Amino acid sequence: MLNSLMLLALLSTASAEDFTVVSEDQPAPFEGVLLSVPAVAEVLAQHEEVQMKCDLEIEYQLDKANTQCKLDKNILEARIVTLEQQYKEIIAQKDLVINKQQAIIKKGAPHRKWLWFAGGIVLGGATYYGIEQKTQ
Amino acid sequence: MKQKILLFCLKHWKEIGLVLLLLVVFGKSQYDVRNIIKAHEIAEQSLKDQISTLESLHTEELRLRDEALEQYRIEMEQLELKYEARQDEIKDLTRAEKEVIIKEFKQDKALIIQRLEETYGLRYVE
Repeated sequence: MLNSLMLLALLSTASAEDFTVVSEDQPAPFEGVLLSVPAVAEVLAQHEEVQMKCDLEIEYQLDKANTQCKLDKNILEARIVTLEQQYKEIIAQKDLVINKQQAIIKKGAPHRKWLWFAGGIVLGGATYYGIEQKTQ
Repeated sequence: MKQKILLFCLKHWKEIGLVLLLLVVFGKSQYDVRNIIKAHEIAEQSLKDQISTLESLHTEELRLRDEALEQYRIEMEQLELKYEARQDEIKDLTRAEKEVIIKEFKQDKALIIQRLEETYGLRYVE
């Protein structure tokens, strides 16, 4: 445990974040890793490349989501238009049927039935009376 | 003859009345049935019209849907192409950047020192 703590303390005070530039055959000021110029260029360029790739990926994913959203919107709009027209058509047809059927029902409306009924009684009574008069 | 008919009618007036009444009832029921059939025909015609309209609406919706899908496909294709082109561009930029860094090192070492400090926050040691 103590050894681990000592190692951590040593690491934190070590020059892990330091760097230098050395020429050929020149001794280095500290122990470390020597990178060639192309390797350093690679490391530096990679940093920028990763950033650009990250920005590109974000932009690409946003564009993709936007396109998908647009597709969903267009499909939903088409569905809404269809449903609205469907609704109007059904209502218009129902109104038409109701009006026509109401006209048919009105032909046999109650007040006319009563007239028929009264007329029948009067006619029947008169016929009966007439026949009775004739037969006597 | 007329006398005979009159006598027959007078004698069987109830039967004749019953037949007439039956005829009236039959006529009325026929009239009612015709009205019911008419109402049914109206409803049937309405349903046929509805089906026809719904079919045309459905066809139109499918057309719009296909159009939207085609547009989506084209846009996605363009996006893919743009993405690939940008990736290639980034690769080219990285390659160019590496060349610039190497050139800079040859011309002025301080520039690469500055870059390392700025990019990774490293401390330069003389």
